[in-house]
Amino acid sequence: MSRISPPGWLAGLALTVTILVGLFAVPADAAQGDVQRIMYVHVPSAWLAYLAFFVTLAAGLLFLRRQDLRFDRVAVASAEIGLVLTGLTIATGAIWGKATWGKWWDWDPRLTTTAILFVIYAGYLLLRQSIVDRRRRARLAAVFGTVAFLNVPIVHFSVLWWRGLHQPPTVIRPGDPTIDHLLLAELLASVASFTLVYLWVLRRRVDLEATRDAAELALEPAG
Amino acid sequence: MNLAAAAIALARKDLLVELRARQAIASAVALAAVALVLVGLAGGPDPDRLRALAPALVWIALLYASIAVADRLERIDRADDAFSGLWLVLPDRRAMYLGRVISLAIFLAVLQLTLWMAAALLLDLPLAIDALALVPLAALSALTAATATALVVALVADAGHRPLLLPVALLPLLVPTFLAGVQASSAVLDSRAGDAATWAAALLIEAALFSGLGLLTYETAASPD
Repeated sequence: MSRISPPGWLAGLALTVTILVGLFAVPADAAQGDVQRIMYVHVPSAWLAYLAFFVTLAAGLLFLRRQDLRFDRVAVASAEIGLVLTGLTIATGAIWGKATWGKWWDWDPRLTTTAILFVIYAGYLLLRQSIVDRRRRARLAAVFGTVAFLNVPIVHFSVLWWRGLHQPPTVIRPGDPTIDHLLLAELLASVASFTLVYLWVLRRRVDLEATRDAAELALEPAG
Repeated sequence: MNLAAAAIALARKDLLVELRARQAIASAVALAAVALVLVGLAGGPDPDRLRALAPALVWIALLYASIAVADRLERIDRADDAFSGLWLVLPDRRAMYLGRVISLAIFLAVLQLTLWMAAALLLDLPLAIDALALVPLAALSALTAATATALVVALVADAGHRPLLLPVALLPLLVPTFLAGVQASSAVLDSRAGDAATWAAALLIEAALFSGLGLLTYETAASPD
């Protein structure tokens, strides 16, 4: 039976503490009220999804260069986590949108490009499932992962390139962040704890992929 | 034979095969016509609404038609091991990507102009002299769509569930092209030259990005081993 390792406990504890602090300790936003607290899940999910897809890109390129399947395991693991995080970003954004804009969904450029990002990486995983040969699968997925990543900057800059309902950047922007410093500290703590969870899940998922590869190899006919 | 000459020879081969068989373009035109009529019906009889929707209708039809054309061309190449023969003969295999981009771009440009004429008739589009700008725009947007389509169709050529996988993998990647194409053609139809030029520049950037990635990765993506 698999046990949770100390890094897993640490990541879980950090996430629990930051969520509890975000829900009960940090004051609510003066304008939006309690619904703003969803930002402590929404923003880290979105940033970590970008990171996860960047890791997929980098690991894919490293596979193409070194032909080492360990990089492909990292690529697929990170893509799966990125897809889940993108889904979480869309879901939390919809909940926030219902409370703030009065509707679950709007054809806003940021929302639409994020949904497209979700579909592109779902396509990445579908492509992987459609190819039997292990090395061929890794090679084609690496190319697709490279092309797919083109959409990530489009998602990030969509709020600057097109007018929409989604607010422009409040933290990563020229000049000071347009957010209260206490709320910013909690947001950064959330990003840190989400990162720990991402790294722990990535590690576990890579181990699982290695086990699957070993099983596939063992089942292949000899010669 | 250098890269450009080989690419032109391969594009010529695609065009000749199609001129003789007329299968890809016939199925693409049929598919595009069905899409145009169905979406037009779903949109209702309001002529102003249909005119406003026309660029999006043309582009939706074009995207689905591009899948049909690209898939057909790739299947012809993969039949009877023709693809493996080309792979072995060509000193620079990027010519296969470039050749496919050229032939696809020509098909899609012709198809797009045909669709605009159909839309003008069916949707009562007022095509003024400014609408002649749709011709170079069709060429540019067809080139942009072709650069991505040629790469993705090679990626999924040997994958299982290809009829499902190709649209799932390709269409989301073509969304920026779709958006820029729709906005640029809307601007042309509304005589907003400045906006049209901005969106045409976006198409050009997309074409440069996709063709750069295609040239860098095609050999890895299409390798038959």
